[in-house]
Amino acid sequence: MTIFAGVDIGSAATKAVVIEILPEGRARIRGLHLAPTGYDNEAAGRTVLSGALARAGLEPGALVRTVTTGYGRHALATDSAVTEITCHARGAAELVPAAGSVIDVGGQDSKAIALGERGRVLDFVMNDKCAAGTGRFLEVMARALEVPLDEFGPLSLTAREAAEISNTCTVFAESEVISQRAARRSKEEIIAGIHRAMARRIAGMARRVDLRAPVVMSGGVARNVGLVQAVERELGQTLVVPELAQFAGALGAALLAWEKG
Amino acid sequence: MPDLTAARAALGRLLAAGSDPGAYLSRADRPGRRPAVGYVCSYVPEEILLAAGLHPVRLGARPGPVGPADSSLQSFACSFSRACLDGLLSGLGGDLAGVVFAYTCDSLRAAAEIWKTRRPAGSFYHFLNLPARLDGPGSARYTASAFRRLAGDLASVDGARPVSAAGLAAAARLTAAVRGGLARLAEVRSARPDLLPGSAFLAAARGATVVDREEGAADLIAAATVLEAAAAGSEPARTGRRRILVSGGFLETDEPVHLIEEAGADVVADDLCLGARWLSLPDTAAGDAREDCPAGDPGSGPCPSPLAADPFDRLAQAYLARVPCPAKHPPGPRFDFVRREAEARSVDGVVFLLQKFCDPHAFDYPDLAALLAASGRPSLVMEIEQGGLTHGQARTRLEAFVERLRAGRSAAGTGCGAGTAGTAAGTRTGPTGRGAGKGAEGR
Repeated sequence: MTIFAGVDIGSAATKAVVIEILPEGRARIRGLHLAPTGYDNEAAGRTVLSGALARAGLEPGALVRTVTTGYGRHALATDSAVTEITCHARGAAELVPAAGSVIDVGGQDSKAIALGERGRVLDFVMNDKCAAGTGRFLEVMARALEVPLDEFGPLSLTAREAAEISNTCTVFAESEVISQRAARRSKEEIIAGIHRAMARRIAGMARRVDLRAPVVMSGGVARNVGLVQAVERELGQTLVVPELAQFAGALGAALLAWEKG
Repeated sequence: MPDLTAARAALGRLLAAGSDPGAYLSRADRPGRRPAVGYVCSYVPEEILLAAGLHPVRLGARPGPVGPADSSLQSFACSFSRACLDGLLSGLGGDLAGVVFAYTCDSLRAAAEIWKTRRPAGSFYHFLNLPARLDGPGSARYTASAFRRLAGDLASVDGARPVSAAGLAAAARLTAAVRGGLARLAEVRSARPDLLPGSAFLAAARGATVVDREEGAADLIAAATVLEAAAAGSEPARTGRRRILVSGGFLETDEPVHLIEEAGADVVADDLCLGARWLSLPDTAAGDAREDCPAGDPGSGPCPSPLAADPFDRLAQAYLARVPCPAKHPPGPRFDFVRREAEARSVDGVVFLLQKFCDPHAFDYPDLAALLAASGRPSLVMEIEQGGLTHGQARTRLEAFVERLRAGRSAAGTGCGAGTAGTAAGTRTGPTGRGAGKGAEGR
């Protein structure tokens, strides 16, 4: 058996994917694992890699090569470290073979990537030092509204209209949310407003690359259906959210571990 | 492995002086002990300060947070002007006999005006009002008159001597020796970045604007001689690394260059205020038009018109003929220079390190990036400011850019790695297999 692994140590969550290369030269996913990153990046990486191997029913010795990616990619000693931009591009192209571009919204940054053949990066943009347009922005807002993050998406879809959140700065936007709360706007409307403000930021960034369809959305924030729809409205185009959107980076890392060997 | 001890020692002295000009100036054994005059902007002619018997010190930012300047400058002023003023207000101003500012942009003019009112009593101050338009009919005459005014005003500095034609000629020879030493190092950086990384070159350049110029020229020439011999007698220790040109302003920190190097690329060329743009200044000590310039050249780029007899006219000619700063007009000669340099140095990609809030650089960036893209060279833009980079994001951007350059070369069939493996598909989300193949895409 030819087994490879990819570990994506993100700022919020760490993911691992174990793949097997079939005799006909295709990759098949054997195991997945996800855990919060926490303080210790290396420990998180080890945990998810062990978890993914266990789910695959494999021992660590079965691994031919492992590649790490994500914010903490240098924390875990593996065969090599590759940026999340290259890995998300490769992973997204695997999950959606016709993908023309990727929008990845992670815990602490967001990127838009224009893809070439086999997920090669043609161009990319990344948000700057600001937390606006990232998962962290949503976490801060969830705390301010006392709503679990998982409920953000479905709740926002029930809003009659979106509250106006004019600030894209996380700190100022939090103050604005508190003002909206004081003005008795419903949580649903405020969340819809938060999604719209964030979507404007993401779309503004994404338009800086040649955003060819189909546009894949990857990263943990892609699970938020309300935000996905808001980004679609801002961009005027449909986004493809693969089932394994959150694992796109780790999958890409595993594929690169195989292909770059 | 060649013995680089002597080169390392010489470069180490320059690095130390550039990292802490205040400590260098306070040294009891500083050669000459001539009065030190600080200056901001590479359009301030060091030749005039040297001819006046002074020690020119280029001001820049120092590591660490900005202190007193924050309460004086507007929030939109760039961190370079803020840091220059901060250095002066935090003590360096006391080590200097005076400061010469030049008209570069509104932020630096504001810093100059504030320093004018807050400088210690008796500290020399001069604002060199240079033209923004370099190709106007009166640009050279105006610049020469501004240089003469500076030379005249310097007579008020305690310990200065009158600026004479002979003094200017000697100063021109000295500055040409400094720039010549750096130009030789720039060649080593390009040919053998394993021997002289881009970060070491920039540290040497920064130090060369601080140390006593005779000492600096000697160290630069000594380092260049050792490194050239080492390059001739050895094979490159690293191969397969991408070649990068960095473009930007003064670049007060080498941090971004270090990150590029750590990402697996070499900075082999530059378009920086502290680097190639400054080194492009024609040699006014030569006394006549350069032999490599075609006869009848109108005086653009590195080829000045036959040099004027008057030393101030000659100096003005040279400063107008160098590769211009983005704050000057027209930008064409700079664009041509970057395009030529990228080609000549076999550059794979360009990293723009734009000073945050620096409008002149930001205005030129889109056209310059498009020009490079047209010649097949991708670029990355990063905003930088005093106080350092956001390391994680900066590292990711630079590493991703280098990965992209590697993949680009691989896809074009000039390397090995990604893009040549067999079909890869069939994950449980259901994509089907695709044919392998190489494809030359890119911008």
